[in-house]
Amino acid sequence: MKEIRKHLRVYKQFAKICIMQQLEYRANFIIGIGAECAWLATKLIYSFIVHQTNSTVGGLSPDEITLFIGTFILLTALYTGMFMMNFFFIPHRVRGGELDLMLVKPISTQFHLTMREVDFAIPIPNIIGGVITVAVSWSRLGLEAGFVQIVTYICLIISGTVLTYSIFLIPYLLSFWAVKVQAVTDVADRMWDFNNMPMQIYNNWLQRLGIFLIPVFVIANFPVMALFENLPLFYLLWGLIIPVVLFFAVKKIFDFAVKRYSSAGG
Amino acid sequence: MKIMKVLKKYAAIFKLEMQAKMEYRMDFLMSLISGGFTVIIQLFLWTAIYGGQAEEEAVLFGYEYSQMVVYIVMAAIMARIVATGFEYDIMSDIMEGNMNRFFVQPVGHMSYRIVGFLGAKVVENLMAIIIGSVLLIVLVFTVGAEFSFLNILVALAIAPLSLLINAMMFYFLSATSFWLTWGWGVFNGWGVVTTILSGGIFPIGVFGETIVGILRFLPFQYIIYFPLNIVVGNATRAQVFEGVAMQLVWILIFMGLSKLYWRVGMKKYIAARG
Repeated sequence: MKEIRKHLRVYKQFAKICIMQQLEYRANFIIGIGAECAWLATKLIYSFIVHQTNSTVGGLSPDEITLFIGTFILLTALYTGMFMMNFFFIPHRVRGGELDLMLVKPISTQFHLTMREVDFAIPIPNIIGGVITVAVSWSRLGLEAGFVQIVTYICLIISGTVLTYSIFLIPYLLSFWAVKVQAVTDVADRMWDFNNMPMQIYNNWLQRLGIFLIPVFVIANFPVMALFENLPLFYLLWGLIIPVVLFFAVKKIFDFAVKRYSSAGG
Repeated sequence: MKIMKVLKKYAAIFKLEMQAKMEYRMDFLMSLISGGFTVIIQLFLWTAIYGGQAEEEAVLFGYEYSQMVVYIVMAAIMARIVATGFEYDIMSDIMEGNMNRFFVQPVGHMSYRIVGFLGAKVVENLMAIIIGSVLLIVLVFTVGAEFSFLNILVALAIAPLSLLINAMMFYFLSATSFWLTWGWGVFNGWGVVTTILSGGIFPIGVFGETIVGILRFLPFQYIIYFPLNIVVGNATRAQVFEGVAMQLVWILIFMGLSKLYWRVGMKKYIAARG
């Protein structure tokens, strides 16, 4: 508990330093927000199209699909704000020997390497866009989700965030073994977009693949399915357990990878 | 004699960039694979949307199902064909003071960049065309896509103009680095806007008639939407001529604007770190 509190305090300091650094270059900060607005538009186009065609996709109405998209946008805010930049920097830090300094700090090296950067510009449009999209589709659907559904939704958003961390960190850990990993990480990053639409649009084998083998569908689909009371108990348990299992698996992989670190570039 | 000398100089730049890019063939293939994920999402989406329509052969936004599938698959390929990337090199040249060499080298910056870019694209684009051709054949047998050989030839003939519009547009934009220390956000954001408005994700018809009417006078749709509309057989002969004329006009506009913008930008250049 003491360790957790210490790391939370350190994280607060990381966030403080990052916001100060980012606001020093205000033009870049504002342009970053503008660029992310364009990415947000690419996500919302999907909602626009299902509304334009008034399509029922996989038994879901356009407003129900929009609720999935809104949740995906919210999770994108968490991913881009907390993890994305850290992951991008891993190959550079490993290759350049910057990891040396992190190894001697009195905090977890994994925590330092993967949580050091907090981005404030990219999540802003996603938080605003995500909240508005979820709120509008929620009210249009006239959802009267009870306390249990809402708590489950939030719990699954949190577990989805933990799962995001674990799934998308693994490809970057390859940089401990290979010099150039961009091709692999690019492919892995694009998998994130599979959550842009509800998994019901995909066929059965792809759904199973995305739930059990590489559980990307668990991230943004399960919270909304819980809201619709459409999440089987087994899936609910899977959605809560698999993030924990993968988190500890990633920790093991990380520890193993660090043992291989030779500080060649340091 | 002088012309021959100039041509020889640019042929050397072209060849050098082409050879340099050949080393990264795998990177390009991997980028096609990752781009393929977006196509998979869309394939499932459009299959579900068309499948849910009451009429058997529904036409949405001017496209039958097979045409839509061809469009989204080819849009992913076309987006790779026209993709630039030199704007980031220019940004780093300006930031690091590496523009200095262009003051002493007997070559103009714009011609050096554009010729080098075209050289770098040769191998990539040949691979893209081969993969695109294979995919077209697959689509004939899987979704019953129909093509006119002539349309494909016309689209291939105008594709270099699409590539040039995009290249000139990003060359123009890259001068922004004279004012911004870190132009990454501008290039990234503009790249996404261009992809959307050029029809790189969905055909621009989905945005409605008003937007399509406005886009007719802007450069974007002539980058991806226009050549692909020829491939799927949705462009009349008059539209083809109008489109090619617009492509040429926009290339000239961006060339002129680039000259002006770069001249102003160079006055800001301080060769920091150079």
